[in-house]
Amino acid sequence: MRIERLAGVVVGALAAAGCGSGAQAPPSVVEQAQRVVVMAPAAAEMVVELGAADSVVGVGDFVSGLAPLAELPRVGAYNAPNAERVLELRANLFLTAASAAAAESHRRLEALGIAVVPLDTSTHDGVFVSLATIGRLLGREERARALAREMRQRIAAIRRTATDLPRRRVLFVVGRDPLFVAGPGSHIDEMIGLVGGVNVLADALSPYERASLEVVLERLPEIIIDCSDNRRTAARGRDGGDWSRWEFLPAVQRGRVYQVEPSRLVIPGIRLPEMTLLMGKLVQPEAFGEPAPSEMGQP
Amino acid sequence: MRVGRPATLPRVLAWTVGLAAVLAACMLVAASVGAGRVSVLDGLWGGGGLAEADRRILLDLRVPRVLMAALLGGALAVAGVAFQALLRNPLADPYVLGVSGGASIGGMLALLLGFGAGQGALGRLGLPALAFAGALGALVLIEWVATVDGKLTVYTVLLTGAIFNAFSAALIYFIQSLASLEELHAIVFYLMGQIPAPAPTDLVVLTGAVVLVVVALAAMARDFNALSLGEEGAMQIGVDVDRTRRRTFWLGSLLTGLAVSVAGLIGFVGLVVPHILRILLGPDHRLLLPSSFFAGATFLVLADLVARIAAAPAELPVGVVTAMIGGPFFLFLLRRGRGRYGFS
Repeated sequence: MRIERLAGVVVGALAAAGCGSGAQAPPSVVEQAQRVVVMAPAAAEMVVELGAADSVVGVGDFVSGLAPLAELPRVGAYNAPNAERVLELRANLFLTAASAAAAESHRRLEALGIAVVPLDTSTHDGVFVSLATIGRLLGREERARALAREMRQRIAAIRRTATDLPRRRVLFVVGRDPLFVAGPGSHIDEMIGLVGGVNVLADALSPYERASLEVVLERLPEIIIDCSDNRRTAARGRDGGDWSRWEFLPAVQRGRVYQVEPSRLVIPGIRLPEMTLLMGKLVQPEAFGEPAPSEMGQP
Repeated sequence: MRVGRPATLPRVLAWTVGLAAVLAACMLVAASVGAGRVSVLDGLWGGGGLAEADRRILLDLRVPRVLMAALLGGALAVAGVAFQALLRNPLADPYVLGVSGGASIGGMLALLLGFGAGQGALGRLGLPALAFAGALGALVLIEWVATVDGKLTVYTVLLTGAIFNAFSAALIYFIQSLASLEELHAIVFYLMGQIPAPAPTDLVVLTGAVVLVVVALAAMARDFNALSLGEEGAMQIGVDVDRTRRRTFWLGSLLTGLAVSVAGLIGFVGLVVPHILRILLGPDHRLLLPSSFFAGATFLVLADLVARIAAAPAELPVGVVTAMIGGPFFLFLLRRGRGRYGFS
């Protein structure tokens, strides 16, 4: 039963993808997707940007800062959605983040007859695939395609600007105590490469890795971007923070340690071009201009 | 067969000095090898040519961490010996009496209050201070509950500790379920245990405290031997059983509280090291206590070395390494040493 339902959505989505530009999605897909619960912040942004906020009936706890969805009921964390609440909202499409931790709860929702679509927005490619998928499911393909085209063009322009710039060693911190850094396979690593930076932890084993402080210091980063502190009271902007202790680091000596609010860089989505531009300003200020404190989350 | 041999002064000295020498050698190796390329040998024989980055990595990160691992390993192993003597139970480890539960709750509250990522003295000391306060709170509570008719009985203290630990676990899960994703992350890693690289003053204070408690426990070695005869046996040879138990409970718990408050929960050291030494050296606490300190220190120094370098540039949680090395090694010794196990 649940497999049939999911197959219906997937087949419908594929059919929609097969249609030529400007073609409407088959009615079955649009019909199925009329009552959407969206759990992932990146997916929620896409839904709003595609002008489909009206079809959303509930959101996950981590979805915030989107005015059209602000008043909607919340259905729990992405890995533990409240199935009763989702049923109560008579949702038929559940857009969420791909996650092994959430697999069990996804199976439960599918068993209840709700089409679950896990989206992987953790990489650049993943963002574009997710955007296309949401466009298809909500009957907004043309808008999704146009948006993707514009995003790609803006990112390509940033890449062109950075092509001949000197390569700079960048450390991107996502957690302290213990130290967690962005490694290869993360969208952050991709952005660093796009703007002419070299991730000092490019040899890490996973996209986000618990790293050795010894190694990090030894590689003498020229720029440190610290997104580890998400508290509202946290210092933002050019601020050495705890890194000032290691005054031999080029980043500390040149005042190139930035404390940035995590949402500005860590959660990828349709703001990828803005994020990449901010990354450009942090890594190559001579080419992209100095980042304004407000861009780093300073009120 | 060494197990039955008495712990004469020359034998105690020989083992203590021997194990101390092994510890010193392992510490030198651990300080020489790390995820970074610099070695302590470069510092000693490099002719002062060490780059500033290498010098700081060595002196501010690696050496303090090796010293800390030695101190914590020694403390946990001695606490393990003390609790096994107190409870006359081979399954006893430093965390069995609930002190770790109290410390975990304290540490977790510190993280929720934002001390974990804070700067300055509060950021540095807030977490260990609250964790230690939690350990002390648990201690007082457990002693109060476990004292029946003015006496601290083994079964009540064990049962109270187990129940308090279960209660703490529930409380920890409760707080975790309310914490934000970032707080959850910090809590999980705190509970998993990691050896910090402390500032010199913190290290000196901690060393002083640990050495004091370890010496106090070592001075009770004869009483522990008496306790192994059972309550009546111990009383017959003039040991004040209740006072010994209470003192052991306090000193062992203080040691555990100190360790947990700075490094979280590092398992296996306090369980496996005393047992291995019991198999190798016999049950005499005059030999067991000092040997456990140095062997525990060596074990944790080596486990932390593995945690630092095995997956470099990533780091492994040290508790995972202690369990993965300690568990199989202990089973191997247990299998080989059948019938010679020093626990009655």
